[in-house]
Amino acid sequence: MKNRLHILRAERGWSQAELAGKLGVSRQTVNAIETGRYDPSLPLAFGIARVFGKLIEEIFEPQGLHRVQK
Amino acid sequence: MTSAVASTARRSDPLLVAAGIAAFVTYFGARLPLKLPGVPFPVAIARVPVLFLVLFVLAAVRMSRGLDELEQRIHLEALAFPAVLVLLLTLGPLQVAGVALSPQDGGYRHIGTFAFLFDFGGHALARRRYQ
Repeated sequence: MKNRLHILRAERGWSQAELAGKLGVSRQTVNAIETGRYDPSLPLAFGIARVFGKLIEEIFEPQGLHRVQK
Repeated sequence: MTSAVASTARRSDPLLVAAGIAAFVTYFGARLPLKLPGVPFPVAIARVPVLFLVLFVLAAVRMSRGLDELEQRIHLEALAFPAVLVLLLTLGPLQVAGVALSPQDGGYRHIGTFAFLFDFGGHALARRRYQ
């Protein structure tokens, strides 16, 4: 899953460690999410959205959407 | 939601460290008397390290619950390794103690099967948390 975490964090001048502290996760987790090696759980994604004051969709962009019937 | 992004301050679990050291020491400590002829209660001696090894694994699982979600995943994947190791270290001293698993084969032939079955057990226990 693509995400804008690195950009948003840079805009605010936060280090990975600072963001990790705000989210209550390890710096490695923030790094793994930023580099796309790890997709956060839904609660953590909500936590990230809340920290940046944005919607989840404004931060994360799915690369392979699951087929959902409307 | 706040619980999901729980604090992940790194803290070493004293039980984990103590169990790990005890397992290491008792494993090698048990092997020495088992090699002596006529040592009393060889099976009991051979099983002493198992207690600490199991305690070590349980402590590792308990510690992983306090970690954040990525570290939990890493620890769970890593646990597969010591789980097999526990099996090996359990059977090793027993074989030194003279407990033959089967006189027809080398003793370790069935380890793969055991690990496979234990994996089912682990799955059953883990899935109970989410049902």
